[in-house]
Amino acid sequence: MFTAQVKGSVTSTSKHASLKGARLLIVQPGEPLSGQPNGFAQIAVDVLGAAIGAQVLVSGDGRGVQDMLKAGRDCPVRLAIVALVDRSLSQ
Amino acid sequence: MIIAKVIGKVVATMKEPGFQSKKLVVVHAHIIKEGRLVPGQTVIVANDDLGAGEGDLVAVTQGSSARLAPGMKNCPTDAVVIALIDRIDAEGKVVFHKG
Amino acid sequence: MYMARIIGRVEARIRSPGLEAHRLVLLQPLDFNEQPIRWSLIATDLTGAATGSLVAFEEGREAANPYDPSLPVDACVVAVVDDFRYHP
Repeated sequence: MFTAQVKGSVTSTSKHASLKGARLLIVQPGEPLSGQPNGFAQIAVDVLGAAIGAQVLVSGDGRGVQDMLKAGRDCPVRLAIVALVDRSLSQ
Repeated sequence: MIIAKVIGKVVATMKEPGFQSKKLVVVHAHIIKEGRLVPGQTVIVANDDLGAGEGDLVAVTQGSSARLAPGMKNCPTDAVVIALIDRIDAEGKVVFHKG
Repeated sequence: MYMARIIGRVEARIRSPGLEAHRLVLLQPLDFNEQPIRWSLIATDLTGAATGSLVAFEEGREAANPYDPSLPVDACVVAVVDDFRYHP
């Protein structure tokens, strides 16, 4: 999993049927403690209602995405926002 | 999938059982850059059941999807040739045509 | 998923069994300023999007999920991007 900042959203009419009604957000991965951007922004499914600018936790569990969307095993998406991060601290 | 050119083969006698009687080719990844087909950075070994020969341009599937190819279920591979490429059109031009 | 533009297509008569009927497109991944990132790649396409279209694609094992019986696919166009909002 990685932490990320929500940077925007994507709209799509023509898409895989399993994504009907799914909210697609642009997330910029960051270093978990400093928040320093890390790699390219990607598109993740959101069922938690994350706001633009929010810090989130993103998981790459495709099975989890299917469960969150109540979609079948044919759903071809890996990334989903699984938590809204309050803070991440070093020990 | 990546575009790759077949540049060789790997011959091995002692193999994990899943690799028995499986052909292995060495492929060099290629990319489309500024409307041209150019060599990429990586050279990998892939399974091939389609009869790819040296110099052929092929499409290679990598990762756990490779084992979804027919006959690969019990082969612990992570790369397989899934097509022999005849032609590539990119950015309005024919960038590769076989033969 | 990453965003990409469909920059072309790939023709291949000899394919892994089951893949014959599927369209193979050439993708150039883009960042959300629409600048090229990473390298071009081949993907199957579920959307019928035209060359030049902006799309979202998935990679890895998930890209094979739509296909039953399964196919050896590691990249697949999942959605046509109508519009996106990006606040850098």
